[in-house]
Amino acid sequence: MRPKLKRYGTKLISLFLSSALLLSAVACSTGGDSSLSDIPSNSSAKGRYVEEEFSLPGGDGNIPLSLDQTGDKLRLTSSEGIFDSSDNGKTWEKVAFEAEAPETFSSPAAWGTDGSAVFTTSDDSGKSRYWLMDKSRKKRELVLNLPENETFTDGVLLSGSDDKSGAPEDSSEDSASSAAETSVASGSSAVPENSIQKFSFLHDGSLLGLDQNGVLYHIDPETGSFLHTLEATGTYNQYIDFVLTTDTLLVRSYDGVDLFHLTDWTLKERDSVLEDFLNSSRQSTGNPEATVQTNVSSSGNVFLTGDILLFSDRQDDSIYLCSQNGVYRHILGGSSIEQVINGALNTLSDPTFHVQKILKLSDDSFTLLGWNETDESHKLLNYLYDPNMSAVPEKELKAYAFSDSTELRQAIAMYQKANPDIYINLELALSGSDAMTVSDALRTLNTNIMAGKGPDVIFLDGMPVQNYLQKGLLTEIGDLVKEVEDSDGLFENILSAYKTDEGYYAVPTRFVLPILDADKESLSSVHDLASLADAVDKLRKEHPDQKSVTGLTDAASLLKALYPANSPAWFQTDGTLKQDALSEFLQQAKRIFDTNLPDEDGGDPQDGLGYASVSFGKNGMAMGTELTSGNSLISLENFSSIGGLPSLVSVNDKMQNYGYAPQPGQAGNVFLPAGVVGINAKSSQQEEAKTFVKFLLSSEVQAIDQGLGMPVNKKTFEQLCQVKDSSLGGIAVISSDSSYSINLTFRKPTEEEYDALRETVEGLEIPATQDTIILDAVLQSGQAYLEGKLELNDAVQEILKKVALYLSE
Amino acid sequence: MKKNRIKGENIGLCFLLPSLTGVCLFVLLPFLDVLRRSLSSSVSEEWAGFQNYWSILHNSAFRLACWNTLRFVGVCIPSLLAISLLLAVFLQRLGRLGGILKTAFLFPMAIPVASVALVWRVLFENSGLWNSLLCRLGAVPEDWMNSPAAFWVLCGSYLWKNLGYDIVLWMAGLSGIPTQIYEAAQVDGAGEWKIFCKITFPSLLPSLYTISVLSFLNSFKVFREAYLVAGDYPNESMYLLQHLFNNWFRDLSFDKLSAGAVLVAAVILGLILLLQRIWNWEE
Repeated sequence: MRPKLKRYGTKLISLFLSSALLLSAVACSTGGDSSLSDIPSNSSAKGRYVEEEFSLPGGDGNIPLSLDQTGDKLRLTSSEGIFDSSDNGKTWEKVAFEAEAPETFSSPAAWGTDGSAVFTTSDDSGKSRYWLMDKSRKKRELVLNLPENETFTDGVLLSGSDDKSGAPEDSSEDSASSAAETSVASGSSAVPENSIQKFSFLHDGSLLGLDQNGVLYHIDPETGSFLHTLEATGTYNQYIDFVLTTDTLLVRSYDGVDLFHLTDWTLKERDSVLEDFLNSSRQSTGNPEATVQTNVSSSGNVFLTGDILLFSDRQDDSIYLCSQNGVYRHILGGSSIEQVINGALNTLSDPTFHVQKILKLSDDSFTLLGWNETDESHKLLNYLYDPNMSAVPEKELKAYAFSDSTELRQAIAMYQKANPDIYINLELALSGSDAMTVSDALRTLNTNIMAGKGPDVIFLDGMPVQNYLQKGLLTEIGDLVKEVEDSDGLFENILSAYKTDEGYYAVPTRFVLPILDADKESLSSVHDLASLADAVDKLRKEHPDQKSVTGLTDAASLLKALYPANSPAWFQTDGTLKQDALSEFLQQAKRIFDTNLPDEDGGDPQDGLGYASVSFGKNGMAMGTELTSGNSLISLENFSSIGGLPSLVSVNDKMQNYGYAPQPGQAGNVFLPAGVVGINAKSSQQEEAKTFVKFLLSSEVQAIDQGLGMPVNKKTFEQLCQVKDSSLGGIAVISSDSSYSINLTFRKPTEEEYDALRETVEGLEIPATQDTIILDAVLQSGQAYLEGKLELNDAVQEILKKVALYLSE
Repeated sequence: MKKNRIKGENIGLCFLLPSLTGVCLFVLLPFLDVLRRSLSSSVSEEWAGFQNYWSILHNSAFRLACWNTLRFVGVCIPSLLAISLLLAVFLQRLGRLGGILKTAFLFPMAIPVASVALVWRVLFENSGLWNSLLCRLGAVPEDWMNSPAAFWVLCGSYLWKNLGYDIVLWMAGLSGIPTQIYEAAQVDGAGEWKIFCKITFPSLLPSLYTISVLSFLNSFKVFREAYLVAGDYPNESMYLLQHLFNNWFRDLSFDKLSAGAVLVAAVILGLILLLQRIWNWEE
């Protein structure tokens, strides 16, 4: 009996263990990809918010100032008056105001639900005055005794004249080609008066006001006295914004969000779910300061990416959050934040679109007022829930890039708007927040490609394009290139950067021009790397006190600046490197590097004249800043935006007798391909991928001019050369010791200057080598040589050995 | 009787099945796929025959990597076996103290790879501790990681990390030798060296095969430190097969990678079969 039992027992145990093993194998599963949302793309789930653009009232010159809700109407306050809409912004009616209402106001008004309002005006002395208007339009002044402005302590930030020894003389103001320039007055100490930046009405008719010191006041509208004063504690001691729900006041500071009961104005416990959401959003942008929320009062303001707008419909204790990722809803005290509108499917994800105000309406739709950087216009967008629309677009196109860029994001937003049935899922390999290297990213990409899960469209910047071409990874796209060529025209010389005998497999959608900005005498004498080094030597002798002629005091920076214009000349036909050419490059680079003066006190020779520079206006591509600050006499730069030409020519005017030319080097007429795109040959969505790539080459997308590169589309190139006077910006530069400052407003380039640029672009022939392995090898050994740690021959041999291994693989 | 035997075999098969299934699914099938890829092109997977094998055998990077790997194995494995055996014999004599010291030898194995890479950098960089020491002693400092000396740094790291592991295995083998044999030999007047050659070493031969194979497999793990310190393209002297395969993977050269992997697997298989044959012959 016992042996029998033992036998059965053993069998039972064996069976149990086998089952456990099998179950554990079956239970293993991979973590799902959370792309768009938790709903897979082929799901039959229905319902999502659909974006529609409405026209703003008034003419083109009408500047919207704020968007509010009064009762069941939308109210738009603008420079041309006040408009009401009863249909969520589709149509507008101008509201006639009594003469006794103030005609002008200098900051956004706050509206009460019964039509009452508070306005701010400035008198002649700049002092702010506040006016309450009741629902019968009668106004009276509201006197507020605010404390002094504590955000300014030393007067104005800019001081001193713009004269600096060694700086070129100011150009004559009579000269037609000179840039407008103003110097900043010194010694003035006008501290702006403290004023209320934001008002809001409470349900009981009282007011909330946030002043410039970041203090929040609960104001009695009858007397103007402060019923409650709320001050932030923490690192910065300042509140920056507030939102009201039915029972709660949320006040935002740099440290988080404080919650107050509206009944007794006591502090509530913080909402940890909300805090975590705000923190994680800040971290995901890599911008620790992305919490600033400003009220936009005029033609737009630049928001930091990742900023989140808080708002509420005041119907319950829930709060809404709006960011580039979409609109989210959270019930205070709840455990989750749900996404209501997916930003990836509409304009919200466009990095050049900035939300000024968003409201949730009574029919659960959302209306949004925003500013579009690209066309410098305001937009009014409405989001209405469509229960019949699929929750996610039926087709998903996977795009892959190493790094993010404004152009890419904007192109995707535009494409999705034009093709609402296609969702582009962009995967960025190098987020910067992890230790992923380029090699690791390539291996992961290759694994996915070979597993059949690779992207459909690949942005090849930083990748071994030639390798992919040889392996047959990419689809031939000559047909769509021809279509765009026939309709708009393309720069064939640029597009052919990766052209093979079989056709176009990878095309650059943009290009960058390495240039030399120098005095005309130097420019005329320089035609290659050796003559560039001669010119730098000559300038060093003429300016013995100048710390650095090129402004590039770091060996690695100098090598990186010289690399594009010289590297194509290093390669033999069999792909190996020419020792002589490499040796020549390092020798001349050393000559240029040795012209930098070491610091006399033995300090870091990189400590030149520090400066701060601020760009203003549309133009974000301020070129030549090093020249204006006096940090260098010549500049080796990358010309990557047509919008940078006004700054370039203006700086050259300021410097007097300066000009620019393609950077001379061992190779001539070199350009850097950018925005290189290809279609994965293994993709199952070839047609959709082709439409997207064609869209990237279209004039609409190519018109995005944010610094990634100049457009290859000829039609767009010409359009961008027609710069509007209103979009010319400028720069303000101040030295670290405040001894030198300059405000420079850019001028419009002449037709001859645009012609010169066209001619230069048409003459570009050689794409620069963008192989990171070779660049790293040159940087490592080249830097050691430039700094005197290695002999020339040893450095060259080291580079050749490293590259030989790479090339022999 | 026959029925019982068959039944016994079936039960044995049931126990074996899960593990065998796993090995087939995760080892054999993928290897067959690698074999297939070694005979076709990289992305399009068109038939290429033995073109890939021909190409890698004429590839200078492959030849360099093979030579370095063979040199590394040829230097390190015998050194590791010999040093670890001597230390194991020595520690065995120490009794309890030997047990404590054995644990100390195992510490390097517990150190994370990233920490080891950091130690390499601190010690062997151009301005590292080792060069500072050499300067103080009046010697000329060397750029260890960018010169042929990098190979010896690699060997040193491998020996340091794996010594403890092999010592433990040797000591396990040593503990299986009856002490009476030693006593008898001592009574007969045998010296230490004679005892070692005639008793200890022959008794350890069964362990030698296992320890050799394990040490050989561990030798491939040294790539981790080498990669963390020197990246994709280290000094020529420490450019191993794994570096090459890693780079081929990055470059989508799956055809060459597969052909190389098949060749390496064949060599390793041959080596192990040879060892086994020698062992069986000696038995």
